[in-house]
Amino acid sequence: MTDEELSIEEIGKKLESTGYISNNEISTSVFLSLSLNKPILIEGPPGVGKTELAKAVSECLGREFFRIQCYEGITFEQIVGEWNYQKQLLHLEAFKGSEKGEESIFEDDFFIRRPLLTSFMNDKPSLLLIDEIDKADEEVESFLLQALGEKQITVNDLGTFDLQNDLMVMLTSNAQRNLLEETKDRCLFLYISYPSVEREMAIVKARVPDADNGLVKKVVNMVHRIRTFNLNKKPSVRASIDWVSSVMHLDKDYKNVDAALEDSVGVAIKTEPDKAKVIKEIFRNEYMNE
Amino acid sequence: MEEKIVRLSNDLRKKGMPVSVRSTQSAIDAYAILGEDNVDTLKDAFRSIYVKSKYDIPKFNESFDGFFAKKVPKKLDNDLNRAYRPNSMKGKLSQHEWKITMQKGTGGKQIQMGAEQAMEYFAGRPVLEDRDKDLARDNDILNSDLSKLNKYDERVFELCVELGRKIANKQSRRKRLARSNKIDMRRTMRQNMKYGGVPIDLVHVKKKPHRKQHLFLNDVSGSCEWISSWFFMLMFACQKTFKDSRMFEFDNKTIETTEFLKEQYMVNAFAEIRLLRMRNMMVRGTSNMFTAFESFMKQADISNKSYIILLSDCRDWAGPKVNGIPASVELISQMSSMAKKVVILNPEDKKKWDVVDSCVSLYKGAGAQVYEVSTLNQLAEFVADM
Repeated sequence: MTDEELSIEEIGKKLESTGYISNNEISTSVFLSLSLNKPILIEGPPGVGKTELAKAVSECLGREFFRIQCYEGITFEQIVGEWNYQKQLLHLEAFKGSEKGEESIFEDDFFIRRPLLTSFMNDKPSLLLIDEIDKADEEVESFLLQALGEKQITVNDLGTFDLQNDLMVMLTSNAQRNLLEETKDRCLFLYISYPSVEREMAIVKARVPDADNGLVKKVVNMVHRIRTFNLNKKPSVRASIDWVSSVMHLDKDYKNVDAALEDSVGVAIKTEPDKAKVIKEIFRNEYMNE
Repeated sequence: MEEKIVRLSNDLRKKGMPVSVRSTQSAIDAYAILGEDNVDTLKDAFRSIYVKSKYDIPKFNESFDGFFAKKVPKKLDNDLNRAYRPNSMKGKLSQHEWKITMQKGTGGKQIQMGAEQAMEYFAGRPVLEDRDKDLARDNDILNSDLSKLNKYDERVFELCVELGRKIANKQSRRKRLARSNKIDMRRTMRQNMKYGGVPIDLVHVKKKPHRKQHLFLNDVSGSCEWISSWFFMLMFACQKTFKDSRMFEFDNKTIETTEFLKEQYMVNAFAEIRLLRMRNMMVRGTSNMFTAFESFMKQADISNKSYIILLSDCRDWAGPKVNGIPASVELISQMSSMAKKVVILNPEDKKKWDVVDSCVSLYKGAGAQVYEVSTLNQLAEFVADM
C-alpha cells in the first residue's frame, strides 16, 4: 500500500504506533498533504509537538528524514549547498598551470550539499522538515517557496536539479513574524494548541509509559494551572513530559512526590521570576494539599 | 457540489479571509477524495485548506457549519456521544464534566481508566474545540478600534507580548541583514598570512551599527489614556529591541516612564505607571501640548540621532495660541529640526483630522510625519517597520 492509499484512520493509528497521539484534525492534514501533494504549515506555541509530528510521520511512513533548522540570517548556501571554496583553492594550487585543474573545480565533488538539495536528490521517499520558518528571512522563505513549487533547484555553475522522489514537506512556525501570503496559500494549515488535560495526560503517558498514572495526572493538572498564571514563558507539553521524567528519577518510590516536584520545577519553568511565582502560588499554598 | 464550495469560498472572502482560487481548487480536490459522508472530517480538511491564520478558525467554523453541517436532534446527538464512550465511561458525566476517579494505591494514585483506554478515548478529539471563542475574541481585540479597548483586560497584555515578540524578532533580523557581504581585504590578508598569502579564509566587512535613539512621547489625556497604556505595554514586550530608548507621558506636563520598562512583569509595570499618573494628577487631564513639549524638550536630550515618536490625537485643548495658531506647532518645528525625524501616531479616524481643535495639518507643516493607527495590529506593524 502506498502512502497515498492510506486512510485517515490508518494514518492516525500509524502515528500512534510511533508514540505520537494524533487526532482527527492532525491525521486529516497529513492525509491531505499526501493526497494533494501539498506542504503542511504547522503553527502553535513552542513545545506542543510540531516538530515531533514531522518526525513521527517520517518514522511511521518509512520516509527518510531531512531537516532544515531555520534561524536569523540563514542563507541560501546553508540550505541548498555551497562551493567548497578552500578545496577549490587547494585544487587550483595543486594543479597550478594545468588547464585540467581550472576546469574541474566546478564539478560535483567540490560542492557541499545541504539538506534541501540532499532531500531533492534522494532516490527514496523523503520527508523534509523546515523548522521554525518564521525565524528565517523573507528572501529565504521566497526561495524555498519557489524551489518547492517548481520542484527544481538551480545552482550557479552546477546546473538545475529536479526533484527525484515523492518529497513530503512540513514547515513549522511559532508565528514570531507573519509569513508571506504566498507561502500560506501554497500550504495546508494546521494549528496545534495546548491540549486539554486529558489529552495531555495521554501524550505524557505515551512518552513516559513507566510513569505512575497518579503522578502524570498531578503534573499535568499543575502545568495547566501554571499556564493560567501571567508568566514570561508558559510551560509546554514537552515540559510536562520532562517534569514527570525528572520526578521519576528523583523519587523512584513515589514516597515524596511533592518535594521531588518542587526540586525539579526548573525543568518546566524557565526563568527565575516565573519560578519564584510558581513556587509561591503552587507549592506554598493550599493547592498542594488539595 | 463545486458550486457549493465556490460559494463557501466567497463567503469566507466576505468575512475577510484571504481565499485564493488555488484554495478553492484544493477544496474541490479534497471533496472528491473524502466526500460528504463524514462532515467532521470534511470540516478538518477544509479548515486546513482555507484557514491561514489561527484567528480565522472561528470564522471558518461558522461559515462551514452554515453550508455543510448536518442538523442532528439534540437527543440523538447525546445518544451518539454516549455510544462513542468506552464501557467504563457509560452512564457518567458528559465529556466536559467527566472527571477521572482515583484509587488509593501503594506507591501513588492510580487512574481507574487504563492508559490505552484513555488514548483510545481521547484520540480524535479536536484540539481546538474549546479555543474557538478565545481565538475569535483575540481577533476582535487585535483589529478593533483602539479607543474601545478602554478597560483592563489581561488578554490584551498577552496579545501585546505576542506582538512585541514579533517586533523584536523582525528588528533583530534587520540587524543581521545589515551585515555587508563585502570582503575586508586588510583583515583577509592578515588572516591568511599563515597560508602563505593564499586567501583561504575570507573575512567580510562588518557594518558599523547605526546608533539611533528613540524617544517615545505618549499622550495620556482623556481619549488617549488607554491607547497610551497599550502602546507602553507593546514597547514593554519588545523592550530589548529598543533598550536605548526613553519613554515619556504627557497631558499638560511630561513625566518619564522609562524606568518601568525594567519591571519583570508587565502587570506590575502597568500598575506602577497608573500609580505614577495618579501621583502627578495625570488622570483624565486636558492636554496642553505647549507646556508638555516644552518640558519634554528640557528632559530629553534631543540630537540628530533621535527619532521622536509621538502618540497623540493632536488635540491641543488647553495650549496657548499665537495669532490663532497653537504655540505647540512652533515646538514641533523645533523638534523636527533638532531630531532625525518626528513621527506622530494618531489613533483617531482620518475623517476627524483637522476638525475643531485637531492640529494634524499644522504639525505636518511643521515637519512631522503623521500616521493613522487605529488598531493594535496597526500599532505593532508601525513599530516593527520603524
